[in-house]
Amino acid sequence: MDLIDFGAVGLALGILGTSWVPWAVIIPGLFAGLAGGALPGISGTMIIALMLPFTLYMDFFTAVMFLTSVFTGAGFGGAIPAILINTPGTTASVSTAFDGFPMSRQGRHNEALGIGLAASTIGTFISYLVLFLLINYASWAVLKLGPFEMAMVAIWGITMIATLRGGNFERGILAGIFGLMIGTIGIGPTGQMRGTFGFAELLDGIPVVPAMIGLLATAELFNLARSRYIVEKQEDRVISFSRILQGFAGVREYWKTLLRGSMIGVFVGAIPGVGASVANLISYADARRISDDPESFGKGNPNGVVASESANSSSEGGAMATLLALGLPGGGGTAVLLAAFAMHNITGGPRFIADNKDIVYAILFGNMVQCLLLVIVGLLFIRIAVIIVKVPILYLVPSVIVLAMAGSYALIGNIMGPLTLAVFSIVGWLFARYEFAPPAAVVGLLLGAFVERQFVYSHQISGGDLSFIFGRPIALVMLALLIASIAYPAMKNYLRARRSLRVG
Amino acid sequence: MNSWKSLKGAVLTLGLALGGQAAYAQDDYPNKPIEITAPYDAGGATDRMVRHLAPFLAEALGTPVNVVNRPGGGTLTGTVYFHNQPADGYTVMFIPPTPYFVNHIEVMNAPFKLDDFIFVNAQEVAQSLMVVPKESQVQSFDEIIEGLKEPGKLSAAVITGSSEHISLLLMMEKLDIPAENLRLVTYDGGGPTRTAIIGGQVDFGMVPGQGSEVIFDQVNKIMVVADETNPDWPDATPINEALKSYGVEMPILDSSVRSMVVLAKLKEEYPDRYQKFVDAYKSVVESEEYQASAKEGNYGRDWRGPEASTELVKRNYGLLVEYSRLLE
Repeated sequence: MDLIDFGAVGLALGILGTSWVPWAVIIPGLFAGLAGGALPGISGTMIIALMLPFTLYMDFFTAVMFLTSVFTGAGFGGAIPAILINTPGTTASVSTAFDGFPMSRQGRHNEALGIGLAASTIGTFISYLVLFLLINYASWAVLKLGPFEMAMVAIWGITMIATLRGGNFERGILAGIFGLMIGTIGIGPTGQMRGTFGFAELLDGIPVVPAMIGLLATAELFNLARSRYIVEKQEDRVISFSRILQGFAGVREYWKTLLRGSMIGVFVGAIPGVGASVANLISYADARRISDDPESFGKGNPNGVVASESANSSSEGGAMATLLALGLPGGGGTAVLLAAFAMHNITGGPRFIADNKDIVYAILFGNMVQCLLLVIVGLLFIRIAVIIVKVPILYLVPSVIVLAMAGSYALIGNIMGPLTLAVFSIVGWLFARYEFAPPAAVVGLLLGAFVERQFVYSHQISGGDLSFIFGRPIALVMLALLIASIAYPAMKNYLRARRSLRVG
Repeated sequence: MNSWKSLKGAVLTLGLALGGQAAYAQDDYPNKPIEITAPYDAGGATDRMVRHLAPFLAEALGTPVNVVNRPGGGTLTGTVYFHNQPADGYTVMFIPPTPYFVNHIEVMNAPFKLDDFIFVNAQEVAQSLMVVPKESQVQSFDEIIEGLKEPGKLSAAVITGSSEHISLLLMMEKLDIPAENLRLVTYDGGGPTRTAIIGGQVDFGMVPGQGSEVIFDQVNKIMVVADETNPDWPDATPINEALKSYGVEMPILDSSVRSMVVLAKLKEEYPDRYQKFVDAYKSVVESEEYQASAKEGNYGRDWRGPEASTELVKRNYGLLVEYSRLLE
């Protein structure tokens, strides 16, 4: 296999140059995605599914361009409410809220949005670049990851619970365990029902998005009710396009975090069934871990926003790799794309790549162009969205709650959605009030069922024999890295303490 | 002035309502869009098939046909939704009823019975296919059986609770091989199962053959649970032929039976609508245009009709109930 097939590159440029139609659908697609991602409760998957019928009248390439624009737009859209009102628009932007919202409250909302957009667009661009270079190999690497390796990936995300303490370490851990436990409600990996108390509504478990919005957003909104505006000081409550631009350009100070986040995103996004919702958590945890000042995370450190946004956006490229190369959807969004492929009687997979490398390259190039256009469309969009800081809390809180309620109804399709949101709003408020770090519970909820399922598969595949682990070199390396990354900060602290002791 | 306007409005509304009523009595079914409830996530094999079918059906019926995914609870949520809809012919469902209904009805006490539905057409009856990754240590049926006799030697992947799951366990039971000998990984869907097989995570796997075409380049097809060889897969030996030398015989359990479903009440309350829907659907499936397009997309395109299809579903349901003890 050659790294790059230059003949196909030429043909791909030919496909891109023959018609203006595929270009014309990009901007509407980006807007649809941004709007969908930004509305709490409307997931990226949903907005892509809603757009699917429009593509019936398009040719295959135009349809793919349109749907991937929606995908790209939604990838960033979720960050906007996460930063402005602590309400992640999608599960992919949970950790964007951790530092993005504190930045907003400090009056750095313009910068936060600018940095987020920059990290998002550059992350997506890098992921497609990596995909262009490695599409022949990426998919095979992914296939070699078995359940045990996937469990390792998820545990990496779960260790983050320990870092998300809302002032009290032990209670933070307890909140995380609470999340992990309720994440296992529903049909277990071997088919038995658990914790449903006989309610058929709980068969699929706690609906994650409404619960997440309840725990993170509404709880925070109740707290906000005492303030008059999100940004306390009037002189900070400005809408400044130039400061958005400064934020955008300022991302270069965080280029290390950006690169690491993008790589994590490509890798994690490519794993079927994992995707952006896990990638942003792992990247955030990683950024905090290697930081010289981990305590500043969660208090408005721009590195947190960069880590999260670069990883969730670059997951898109990873997920596309799996879709194109294996014909397997990596997540909800690519599952809908697969349905779009099917409507044009195209199935992804090795055969598709081998026979249609020109189309594949054209898709990749088209997506890189989308990233550039997202810069313009995104800047316009956040310039409008940032007006939220001027809205008094009095009007903001009820509007957001109503939107979130409607969104969670639309998402789940029945009253379970709004009910879950209501229950978890109360839980979240209580948790926040007594320092049981609500974000830790969210991380547990997002990853609990996934990691359990992978462990059950590992158990089945190994027949319960622990020596199986030694036959999995990738997992061993991941395990070693995991242990090292947990031990390293502790060791650093210990050494620092000893040194200061000696000096003293 | 204002009251005049509202009076005019009222008259207009009344007129429209009466007009609507008249149309209703005359029954120009279908006069509004029809929903096909799809009780699973978008993107799977059944979903792709129904999405491909919908525009053809819309043309034949002269009304938009929307596929609406209502996933959850292993198709339970969507099926309950469909069961609660009025039996007026404006909501139909497309689903592989087995094995899901067995669990819903026998275990979960679902609020519906098999007899509440008419299976209009089992448009695709998938066959369970045994496949091995190309680099697997076992490459033939006999090697697999030999391997199974050694405790813990082989691992395999199936979709949990599926026909393949039951067929595999039943075959081992008939061969007097303890189930513990096999390290069986029970995935929660076709996607992860196929990924595990082509990734070489397991030594072999059993999948619904129709709908798994995407992995065919990377596996060898060993055996098919069917009475005869499938001409598309000449390498796969029919199960009872493969088992002949072992002196055992297996009942043939079909894999996914992808079927269009209407409520039984529709036929009682609106026999004309029922007939109209069945006829339109039949004309689509039998049309040259649909046949050609479905062939290209690798979609099942059989017309079995309501009687044969309902019987087929009931037969498989009965077999699954009979052997569900194997899953415990």
